[in-house]
Amino acid sequence: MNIQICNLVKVYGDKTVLNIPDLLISSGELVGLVGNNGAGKTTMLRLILDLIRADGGYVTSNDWKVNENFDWKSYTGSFIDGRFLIDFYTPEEYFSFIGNVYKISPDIIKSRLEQYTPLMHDEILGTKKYIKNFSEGNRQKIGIIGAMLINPKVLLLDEPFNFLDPSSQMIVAKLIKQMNRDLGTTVLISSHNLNFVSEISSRILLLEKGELVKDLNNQDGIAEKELTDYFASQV
Amino acid sequence: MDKKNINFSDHQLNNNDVMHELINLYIDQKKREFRWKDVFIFIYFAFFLSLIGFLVYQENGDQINRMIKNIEFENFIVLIAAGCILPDFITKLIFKHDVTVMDDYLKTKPISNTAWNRFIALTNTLNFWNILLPIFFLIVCLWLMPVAFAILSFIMIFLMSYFNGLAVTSLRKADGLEYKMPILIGWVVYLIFSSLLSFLLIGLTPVVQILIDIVFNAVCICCMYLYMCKLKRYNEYKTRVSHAKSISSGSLIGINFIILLRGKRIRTSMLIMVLVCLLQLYSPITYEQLGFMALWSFFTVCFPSFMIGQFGLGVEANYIDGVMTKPYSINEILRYKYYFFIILNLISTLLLVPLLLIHVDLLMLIVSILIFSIGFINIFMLPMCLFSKRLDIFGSAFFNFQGANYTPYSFAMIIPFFLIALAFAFLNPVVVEISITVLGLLSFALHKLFINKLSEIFIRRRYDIMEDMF
Repeated sequence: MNIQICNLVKVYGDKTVLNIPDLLISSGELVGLVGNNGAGKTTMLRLILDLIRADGGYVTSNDWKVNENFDWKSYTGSFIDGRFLIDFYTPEEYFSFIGNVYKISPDIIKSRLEQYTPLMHDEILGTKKYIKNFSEGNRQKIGIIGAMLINPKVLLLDEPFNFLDPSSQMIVAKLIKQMNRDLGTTVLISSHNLNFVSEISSRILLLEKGELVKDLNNQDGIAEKELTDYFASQV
Repeated sequence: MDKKNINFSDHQLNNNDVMHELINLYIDQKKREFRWKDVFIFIYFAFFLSLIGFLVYQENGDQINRMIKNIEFENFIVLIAAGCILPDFITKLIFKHDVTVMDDYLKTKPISNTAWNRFIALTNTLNFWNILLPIFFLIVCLWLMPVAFAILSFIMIFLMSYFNGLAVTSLRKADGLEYKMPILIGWVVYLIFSSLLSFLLIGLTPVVQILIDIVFNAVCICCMYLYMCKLKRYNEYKTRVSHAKSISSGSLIGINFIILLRGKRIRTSMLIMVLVCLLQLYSPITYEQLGFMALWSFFTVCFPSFMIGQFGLGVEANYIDGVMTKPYSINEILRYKYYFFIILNLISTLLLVPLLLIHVDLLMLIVSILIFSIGFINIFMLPMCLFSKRLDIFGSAFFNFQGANYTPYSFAMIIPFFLIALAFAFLNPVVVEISITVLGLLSFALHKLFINKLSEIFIRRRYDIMEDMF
């Protein structure tokens, strides 16, 4: 499933926070999105997910405009922030809810959850706690698992390594890579962690002040040095 | 390291400075939380209450005046105040919100416990629920007795109210049953002594009665304050974590039940409203009047869905991004919400079954009200989804309006209630019953069409609605 962006513009007040004339993320690509704070990474993800109105242009998923046809919802897994979580549910109930809306049977949900056991680290399932009572790190894990649990054809994650301990960061990076490789999932992740992004992504997009300033091929991690140099030059 | 070079904080504030800072902080917080909308709502309700008072007085004014003429209220004010202790305490337990424990950003600053406890005492003095009753009594007393007595009575009732307020604050500050028990026992002793005192004082001159009660309350306040100062509490966030029992498999209709069961705010407000309606309905006074019976039956049946429906998608707003990115349409959400409302109506109708044993003639009335609520009222509530604001369902506040909206539609929602009241007041009950049954059935038949239209509007305006939710 490819994602295409055409003349996408988002304006807040008199400030253009995102302006991307043309971008194609091909099916099966694993794309990293990097940039300083305020670069427009989250805005871009929110526009792809049709959570905010585009002031110009459009996004297509599988050649359908995301704001006109909602079929993309059935194959897209995403997690941006706490607004994706149902705070008054336990994690089990939340995953079960996801199973219901994606019409995945409880047995399959259960078996898929087993893949995420190393990430959950015995701290999520069976704790009898509401999601609101989990630490930020564990909430992040619940959100990421919730997005990946449906075996999506498109996966969008915003700062997936935030709040996570080092071993969980490694597990998440591995899971994303694995999903992309095994299922051919098109992945777009935004992150400040250059190491992980350059380790797993096949392509890296660099956003700055809402503009796409670099579109780097990252086969074998070749973009890392260029990115490091770029950010170092900003210091 | 040279100790002379280590410069510890020079800002060692004394208690008065700290109090000053805390008060500034408190005022800033209040200023920033102030909303003209709340003032408007307060005026709106005050106006209606005044209107009811005025109408009651207009209707029964002569009778009331005759009664007042023969009674010297200053002789009974201590007794009346003692009678108010229990309801006042319960009201505060439910509604009053407290500053009890320092937030971490204050706790890590050089703020002494003495200053903090004084600050708690001061905020209690200014607390809305602590001054509401005294102000109400002041107005009534100024009408019923000489000014000097009215002012003395105001002071006495304020102290009584303040004691209750401080007791509630102390209860919240106390960590663990062993610290809460002395407060509860102390409060029960206060209630008993206060009641006894009010009887013992009958016969003495009113001034002496009121002054003795003032001294009694002042002593009790001092004791409670001193005990509160001894209480120590930590923000142990872990202790607040409740253990959840899984009650559903996350089904699409089950989510509505979970919201109701786990959302303290929604649950409490709904239960209180239903309880009030039932108390009215089963009260012997109401039995005599068919109009009131109809109205309270109507309220009982439709209030649960009305209460929850007024929040629109306020709960869903908490995870709206999750919803909007999943194949779970607004149409489905609204449809399941509507079916959930129907279940609520049916459950609350069951509460009216005992009434039918006494008044079998009410059967037709209750059935017609049920059909009307299911078909019409529930449908009428659904457009609130277009005006939803995020509702923090874990908040305990019943009387804060976070999440509730005051759009013109909120007020329009009251129209069916007025129409029903007017219809039962002026029309033949059979005509009303048939009319609302037909209207209810018609609305139910069209509910899918209506929901389809509504979700189309929602989708068309989704960006604005979603931005507005937060």
